[in-house]
Amino acid sequence: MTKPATTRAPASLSRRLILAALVWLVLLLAAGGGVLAYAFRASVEREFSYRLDAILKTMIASAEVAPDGTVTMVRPMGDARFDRIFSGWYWQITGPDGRQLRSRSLWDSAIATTAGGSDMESRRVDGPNGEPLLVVERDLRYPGIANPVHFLVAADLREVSSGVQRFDLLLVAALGLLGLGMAVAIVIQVRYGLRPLRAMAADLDSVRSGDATRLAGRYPPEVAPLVEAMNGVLDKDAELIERARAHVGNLAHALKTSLAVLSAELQGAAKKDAMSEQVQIMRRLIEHHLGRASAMAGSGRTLGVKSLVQPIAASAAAALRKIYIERGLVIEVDVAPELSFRGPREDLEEIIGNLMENACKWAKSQVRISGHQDDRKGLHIAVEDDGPGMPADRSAEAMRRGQRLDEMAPGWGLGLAIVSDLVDVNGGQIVFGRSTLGGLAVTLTLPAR
Amino acid sequence: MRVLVVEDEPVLALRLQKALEAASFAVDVAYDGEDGWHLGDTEPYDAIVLDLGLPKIDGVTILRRWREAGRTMPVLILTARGRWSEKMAGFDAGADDYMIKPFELDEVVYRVRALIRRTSGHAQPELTCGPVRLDTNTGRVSVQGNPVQLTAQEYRILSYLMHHAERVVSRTELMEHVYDRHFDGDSNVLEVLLGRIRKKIGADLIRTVRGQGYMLTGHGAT
Repeated sequence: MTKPATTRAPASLSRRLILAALVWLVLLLAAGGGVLAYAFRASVEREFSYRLDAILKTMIASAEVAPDGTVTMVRPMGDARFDRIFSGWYWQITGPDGRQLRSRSLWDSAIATTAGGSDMESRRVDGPNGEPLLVVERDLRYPGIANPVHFLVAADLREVSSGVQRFDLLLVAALGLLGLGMAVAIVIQVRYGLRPLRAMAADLDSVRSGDATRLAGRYPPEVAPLVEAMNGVLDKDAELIERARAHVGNLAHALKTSLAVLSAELQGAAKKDAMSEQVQIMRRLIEHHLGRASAMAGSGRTLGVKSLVQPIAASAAAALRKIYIERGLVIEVDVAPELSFRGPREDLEEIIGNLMENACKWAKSQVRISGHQDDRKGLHIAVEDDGPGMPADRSAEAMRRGQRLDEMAPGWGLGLAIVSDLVDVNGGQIVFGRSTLGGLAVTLTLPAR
Repeated sequence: MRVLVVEDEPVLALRLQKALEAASFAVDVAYDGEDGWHLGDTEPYDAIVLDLGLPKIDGVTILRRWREAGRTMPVLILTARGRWSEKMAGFDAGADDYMIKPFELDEVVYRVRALIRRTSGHAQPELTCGPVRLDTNTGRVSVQGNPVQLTAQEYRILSYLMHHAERVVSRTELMEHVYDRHFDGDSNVLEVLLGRIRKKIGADLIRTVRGQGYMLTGHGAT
């Protein structure tokens, strides 16, 4: 909520690592595959042209050139493919006078010749059926004849390209599989490498939820300084709050001892009542504000703290039984021993102590504190009495302003205001209702985390 | 009745002492934790008023040490911090009552009286033994409804005997609970005082048990 909506959080470390590695992987595999496919195709075509060249040589040996330049085939070419029309295998001899001798497969079409050298040359042309042809040709000079004789053999390239295609398919499949395997390996590697960070997050989570006060796990040397710094911050935080709390407590103690002296000195003084009333007001103000301040200071330290409810409730009950011993109150504690509050012990002591004291003030004979835990909503604590209860319209007022209820019984409002503050700071709720005992039921809901 | 006040603030300690003495208590004062702990551990007080914020040893620690040593006298703790965490610590350590500073001195006296009464098993503020009635709150004594005037020392002796009626109280015990630790007078004074009390409330109520001490009894006196 502090960040503007336009800035996006940077991508996660593992996503960055995995993405970068995948980009490299795809590029390298594509380049490698391209080179391999090209090399294979080139090698296959070269092979093919050698075969054609061998045929060309056979053809040259089978041709006889008369001194007048007439070319005749003394032996047939033997291969039946040259006789099947448009089979894709062709030969063609161009005599010195331009007359051509052609394989039967060519029928009445011809392949355009180029004025080549005496070396063997290969090129591609489109055949009579539009098929891609590889052409091997050669010019040969015969003694006593001015113009060279042009020999040419052509064959359908598709004969080999199907093999090349099969190879390409296999290559893509193999490289794809390799890429997939490497991608999985990269993901595993990144996760393994970043595992200490995940562990740290889990540790921090348990600090936040109150199961631990510092990061306890062992970490690799790259992360350890960070963890150490984090622990330092947590310790410092706890220490600062502890010190602030002590200061507030000392101030309260000093001020109130002075007030006690003042109040004692007032014994027998003139206008004693007016002055001691002022002393009482000062006492209440100090108690109110310092109590709240120290409650706030205490509640800052919700990190890593967990307090058991039962011992606190039992302590409060024991104390109140002594305080109200003459009234013979029955104070019942019905709290499971494993119930715990995610927050500082002092806060819970203050909350339970004030609520139970209040209940004791109003109770005729009986006070009960009960509690149960609920996984979703958290901790529920109910403090009930068999006193007169509270009208519904006063309960909201009771929550808002403690002071006015002070008129009903001394100390009432202050305690409740502090409870209200503490419950608020700890993220809880208070509900006032009617108890089955007949009096007031104050029900707290404190968050599970 | 003998009370110890452990309070480091001298003016407050003095006021507490005066108020308690005015209510017919013998009062000792300790100004720091060490002294207070030692006195409470060695002298037989009927009640102790203990401040929690003390130099040298804090109040809760002192209280815990007393209780661990088996000292059972009632203890009223005074605390400046009204926080429940502190109250609970005090009660867990063995306190019987608490008051938050600043307090009314009358209230302290009232609570000390109530603590002493409860400890000796009396629920009501008015103690009765035969025809004698003693109101611990007002300090008034009457025999068969007729008010009796007692001096402070006489009242202390009678009050202690009333709290522990129907049981033999030794001379030493009586001395220890009636005088503060600075008293070094003649123990014959006790005889004289008892004689005067007998005159005022009736001779046969306080019996002398030879070699053991004294016993206040309502039986056989009417």
